[in-house]
Amino acid sequence: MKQDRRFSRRAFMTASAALGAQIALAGSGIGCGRLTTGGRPSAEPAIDLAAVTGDSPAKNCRAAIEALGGLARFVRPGDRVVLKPNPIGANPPEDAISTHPELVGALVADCLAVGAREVLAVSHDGMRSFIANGLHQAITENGGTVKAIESAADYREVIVPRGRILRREMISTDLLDADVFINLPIAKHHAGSEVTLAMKNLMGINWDRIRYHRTDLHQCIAELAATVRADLTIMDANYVLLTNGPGGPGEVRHGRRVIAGIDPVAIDAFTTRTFWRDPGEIAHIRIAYELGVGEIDLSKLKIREFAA
Amino acid sequence: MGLAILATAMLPAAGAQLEQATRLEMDGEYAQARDAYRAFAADQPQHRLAPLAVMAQANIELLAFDDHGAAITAYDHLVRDYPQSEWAAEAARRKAELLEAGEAWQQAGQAYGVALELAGRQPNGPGAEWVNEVSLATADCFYQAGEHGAVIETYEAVLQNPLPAESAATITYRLADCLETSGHPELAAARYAELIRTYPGMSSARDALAKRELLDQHESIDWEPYLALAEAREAVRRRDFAGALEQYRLARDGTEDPAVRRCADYGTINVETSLGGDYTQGLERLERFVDELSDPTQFPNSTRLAQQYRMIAEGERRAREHPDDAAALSSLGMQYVQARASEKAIEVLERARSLDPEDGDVHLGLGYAYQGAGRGEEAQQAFTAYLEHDPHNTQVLNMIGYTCLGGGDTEAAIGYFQRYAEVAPDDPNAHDSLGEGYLRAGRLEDAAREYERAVELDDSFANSYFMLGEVYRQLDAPEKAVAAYRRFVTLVASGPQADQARAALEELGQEP
Repeated sequence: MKQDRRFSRRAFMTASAALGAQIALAGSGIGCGRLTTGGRPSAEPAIDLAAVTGDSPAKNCRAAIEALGGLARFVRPGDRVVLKPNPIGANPPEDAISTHPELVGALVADCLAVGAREVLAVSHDGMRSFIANGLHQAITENGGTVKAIESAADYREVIVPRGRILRREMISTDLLDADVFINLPIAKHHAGSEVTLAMKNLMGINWDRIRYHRTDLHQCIAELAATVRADLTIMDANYVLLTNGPGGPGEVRHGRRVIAGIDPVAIDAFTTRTFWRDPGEIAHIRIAYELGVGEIDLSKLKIREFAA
Repeated sequence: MGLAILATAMLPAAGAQLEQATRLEMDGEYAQARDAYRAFAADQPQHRLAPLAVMAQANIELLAFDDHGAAITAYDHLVRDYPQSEWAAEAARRKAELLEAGEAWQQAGQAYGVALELAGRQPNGPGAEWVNEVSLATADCFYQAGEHGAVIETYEAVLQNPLPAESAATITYRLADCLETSGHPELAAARYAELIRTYPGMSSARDALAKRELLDQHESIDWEPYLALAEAREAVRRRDFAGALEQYRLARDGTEDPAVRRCADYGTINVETSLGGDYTQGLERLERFVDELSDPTQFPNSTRLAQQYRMIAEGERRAREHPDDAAALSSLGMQYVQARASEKAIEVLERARSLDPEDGDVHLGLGYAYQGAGRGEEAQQAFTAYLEHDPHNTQVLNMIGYTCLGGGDTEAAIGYFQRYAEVAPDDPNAHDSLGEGYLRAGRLEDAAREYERAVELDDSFANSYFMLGEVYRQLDAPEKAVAAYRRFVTLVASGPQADQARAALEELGQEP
């Protein structure tokens, strides 16, 4: 068909039921690539979020991870680590469009240093962006690899039990099969979702992003965050795009900061302060909290803010 | 993933339990995830997330295990124990969908009715689209059950709820239509008239204008302002902006009715902004207009339009300040594309292309812009250039294929559709498109094979059944044509294609 004409309501429903039957026939085969391993160090860290300020993005990143208990808490020898930076645009770091290459490069080196067998950076954005903004060089020079996940074959279907709009979603197979998934957003304004932080950065590991924009972007972002969980999120707020995001150019604040943690709602809630916003005003952060993805109330979190 | 244990320790208990469920889902361990949700709801039934956990449990039963009975039990649990929950209405709806799929029409209709009732109880309930879809589903099921009275009752009950204007207008039209076909012309005319007078800006009100003969028998309507509004919109569609402005003026001057005058004012702002190209001034006018509305839902697109004007105005400012910034020009060009200002889009995107010929997005934007301007050949060139950057983009492969078809280059179209089918062999739409290419080329056997493949992949892919009917007629295989048309009208009960399918069945000597 010329365009994806909307199915009749009944046709859509019947199609969904038929797809469900196919999946059921396959048993629990969907999304079965990863194994639930268990056995990681489980000592409770002292804090939920670490926010580190300093001139060096790499030092900020390392200090934030150290405050959470060190990288070895998250990455074990032999692990396959998947990173999801925000790689868009061909701009230098000072424009605050893509995740700072220095931060990403340092993390790749550190993952390998603690014994990771492979560190792979993925995103649906084309390889051209990775190369133009310096991320490709930073990753490969430090021993990592880069993959632009541009084909449907790079994705596998999972179900979305906590979805209102989403019922099934195609997610990067590399991510689903990873031992460790680290989300590496940059803090930016976004014309559609108001801000693009940790949860919005997950748009890039799913196949059909257009549907999000055509339905309810905030709701879909939150539902995706209830479906895919990073083991660690490191927010690049070294340079923050305050206006005209996500592509810029816009007003940039030299935030000199990295924020790290596990709870994506907490990280996004904390980072909205950079934009002088209340996290409850940002619909996808509020909805994610309502979906049980994480904590929006910063007063309930243990946050350590310090200088590197 | 092993880090679940680490993460669990770092979060409050409820969050940790749900986080663990997410990780189990990512691992494909749906039985364990379901059990985790079930345990959570059982252990903490008063927790704010307990209804969510029951919903997730039900959805796993359905989506992962296709266990309709278990899913319905869990949906019932949610509706029964958490009727005030924001999930209750959706749970009732999903149960209804399952009943409907099993063709238990009356039960399904009743379950949809429960969903609507639950939604109506919530101060911040589901949006207009949800209410629309569910009310349509309710009425559909009662119609299938032969309970026309229940169809009318459903719509009347839904209209008692405070609804966004667009939903109320749509449902009023459906109610009027049902009354008309059920032999209640006077009541139908009253509803059509209510629709035209209350929601003159809505598309369903324009549809109601076609009922003039019926309305003139039972109602007294001053038609001129409403017809002028309709003509103005038609002129906009034709891009006859001067004609549209004249019709809006006639509508505004021809009545004291504030609803009509507001529609005319809104349309005038829209057209004058597009014509004059001053989006900064357009934004100011639009914001003043919206501020004065008592019910902004009467103009459901006004927020989006204001945002569009705002972004274009900002983009123009940046482009003036940075005339050699390809990214800024590209961004502005895409804004123009979305605003359907095709000529302006072409101008700035061509400048962006000259500055950065390697930017694939610019080629894509240019493709859309040339297409919007009716310049098919240039659109095709731009889309082709885009494909060099993103050769597996199925939407673009499909679009360029149809652009070729529109330009009469059937062989090129077939080539693009073949690439689409290679990239996405399990996408029924790919085979449907390829079928259309073959059909245009007169390769009927090939077309039939592709359409059959589409419905094999998705037995509810309605368009392919319709096309199969046409192909089999041309192949002189009437029995297959009848079967295809019959399947189509089962899937799509109304609309122009359904009418064509029924006419074809009649021509084939069948009861439509």
